[in-house]
Amino acid sequence: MMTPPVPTDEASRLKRLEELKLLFSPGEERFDQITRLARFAFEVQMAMISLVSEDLQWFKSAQGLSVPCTSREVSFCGHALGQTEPLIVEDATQDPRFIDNPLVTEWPFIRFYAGYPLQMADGSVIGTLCLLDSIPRTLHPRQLELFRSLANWASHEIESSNSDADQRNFLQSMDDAHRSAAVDAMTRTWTLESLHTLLDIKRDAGAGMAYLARVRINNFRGLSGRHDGKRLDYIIWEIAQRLRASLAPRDLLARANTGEFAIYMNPLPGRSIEDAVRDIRLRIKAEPVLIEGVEIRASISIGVVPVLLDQGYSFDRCMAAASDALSQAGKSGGQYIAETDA
Amino acid sequence: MQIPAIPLDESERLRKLEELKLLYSPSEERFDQITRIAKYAFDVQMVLISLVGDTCQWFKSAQGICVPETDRAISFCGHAIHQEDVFLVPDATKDSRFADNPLVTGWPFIRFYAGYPLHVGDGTALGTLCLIDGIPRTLKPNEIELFRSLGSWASFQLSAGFEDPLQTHFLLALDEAQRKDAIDPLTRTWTPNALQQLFAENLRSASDAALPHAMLGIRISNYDDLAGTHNRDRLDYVTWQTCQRLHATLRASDLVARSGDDRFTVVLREARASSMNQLAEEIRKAIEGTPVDLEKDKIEVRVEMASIPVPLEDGPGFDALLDALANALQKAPSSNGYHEAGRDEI
Repeated sequence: MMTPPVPTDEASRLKRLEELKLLFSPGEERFDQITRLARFAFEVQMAMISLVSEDLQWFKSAQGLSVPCTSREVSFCGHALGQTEPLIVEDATQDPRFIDNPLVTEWPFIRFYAGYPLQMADGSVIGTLCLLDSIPRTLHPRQLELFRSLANWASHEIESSNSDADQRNFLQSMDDAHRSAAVDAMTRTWTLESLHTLLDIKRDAGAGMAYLARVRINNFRGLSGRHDGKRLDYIIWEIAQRLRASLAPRDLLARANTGEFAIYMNPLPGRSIEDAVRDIRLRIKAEPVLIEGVEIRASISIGVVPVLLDQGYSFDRCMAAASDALSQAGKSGGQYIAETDA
Repeated sequence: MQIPAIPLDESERLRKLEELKLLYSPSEERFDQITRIAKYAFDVQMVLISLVGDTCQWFKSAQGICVPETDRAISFCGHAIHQEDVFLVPDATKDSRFADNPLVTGWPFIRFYAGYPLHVGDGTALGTLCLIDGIPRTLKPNEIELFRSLGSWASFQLSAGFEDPLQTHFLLALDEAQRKDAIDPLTRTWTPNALQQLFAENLRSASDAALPHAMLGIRISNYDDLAGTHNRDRLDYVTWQTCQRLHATLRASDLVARSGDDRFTVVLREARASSMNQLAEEIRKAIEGTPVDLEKDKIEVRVEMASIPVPLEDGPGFDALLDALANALQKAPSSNGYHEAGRDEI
């Protein structure tokens, strides 16, 4: 196996990556939209936005794969860094650079790889938009145009910051290690501690009325009994993606524990919280989670309390009230919205 | 029928639209990609990227319909630009805002409408990405998610601006009336006159990385047959679809003009890895490979092509090049539909 060559501008490339504060940051729908479209349009098993750091490639967004990162040494994307044209490997078993790569000889058994270098305005390439499949294939010229168009979009999103000022400032205040600890690695959602900090920031910024929701994956014990760790991870990861897709950019999604999430949310103008919660539940339930050809039905319960982030607010009290609402939800068809705030 | 309300930020919205020079601009593959994928993904009759102007909505990209614009007062999109998120009308006949709308009671008999407002910058909605069908339906939650993704992509493309510096520069100097003159309204490619100006401009800015190196002529060879069997609307649709397919095989830097009812002229400005012959084959495959779908009919389109080299030093003038290309195109039928002219033929 050939390890990826280190590009000549490695130092400035890594500096640009650090400035962007994207490594280990929470998942964002604006990136998931791109990988979702890429997977759909090219009909591939996996599509991701991969950021290549000093020793690993970390996925800012991924479809079809719940692994958060791999080592840079075995990465295909590492090979695409030194160029501005896409790297296309039609069949990795026919390519001496990749034939004995563990990602080829073992799961996910990569055969087809296409990586479009994500070039920043200063010329540095910080990662790729990549397509993967376990079946050899090729891209024809028209698809290459489409690939370029999606990669341009991804580069643009990378250089535009998170649209929520509070999350943006919070991310800016942290280095790689802090970000890594502030975000749940697998689901790329905030940790509860981060949620607490962010709500304090929002309180200080004078945020008005909003809602705090607790979300539980129904029958999680049953799912854990029937599926191994890898599949279970994939289910949780997929549910986190669907939750994120149902929320607005300024809403906050955090992982509370194995099968539970907490959400700070504000419905769009003109929409009621009831409608917003109903849509979220519908989104999770409407389509089964598909993993390795197996369809897994999943659903969630949601308990919601209104919160007013003023001086009298307490994070613990709000979380406890939301947990009570979640217990109520279990008894009232999976959805319960408390009327008065905690 | 309810006439769409005027948004509060209307003057800002129209200013932004003019600033981006999007209204009456040439068609671009980067938008057609989006509408094509949407049509495939949702299996609807029509998909549009509609820009809502002062009095009309104009289609930057369209699949399944070749009307360039419609009246804003009867538009669904005029309503959708007020929304933050997807605007759904599952059955227009059951919606008091649209039940007696002429687009519902008459052609194209809209039943289903889904519009995603295309916000740029600080939240101004310039238009929509919309799906239209003659049969009532709705979108499932995962379809709404995909629809939003396509909508965000379209929003990004709207604010990203044109890709090719030469054409951007040219376009930025034109006002709305001049743009209407410079662009063929049906195929939204440059007019021959605009092509000539662009060509001259390209040669003047010699620092430009993309300089003309060849010209390609494409003629729909069964155009007269098609004209004999189809009415004007249908013929227009076929011409316009053919042009879209041509666009999809070209690059953003290539200059495309409609040089006659049945023909197009392309100025190729970037060196390609493939030969002219291969490019011609690619175009043929894109146009002839699948028939044009039109109201349950499948219409076969045939093309013949010719290319000439464009010498940059001591080259003949633009008119002489066009003559040479026309002559070369006449030799196409006797050489398997493609004639590659040499230096000696110009």
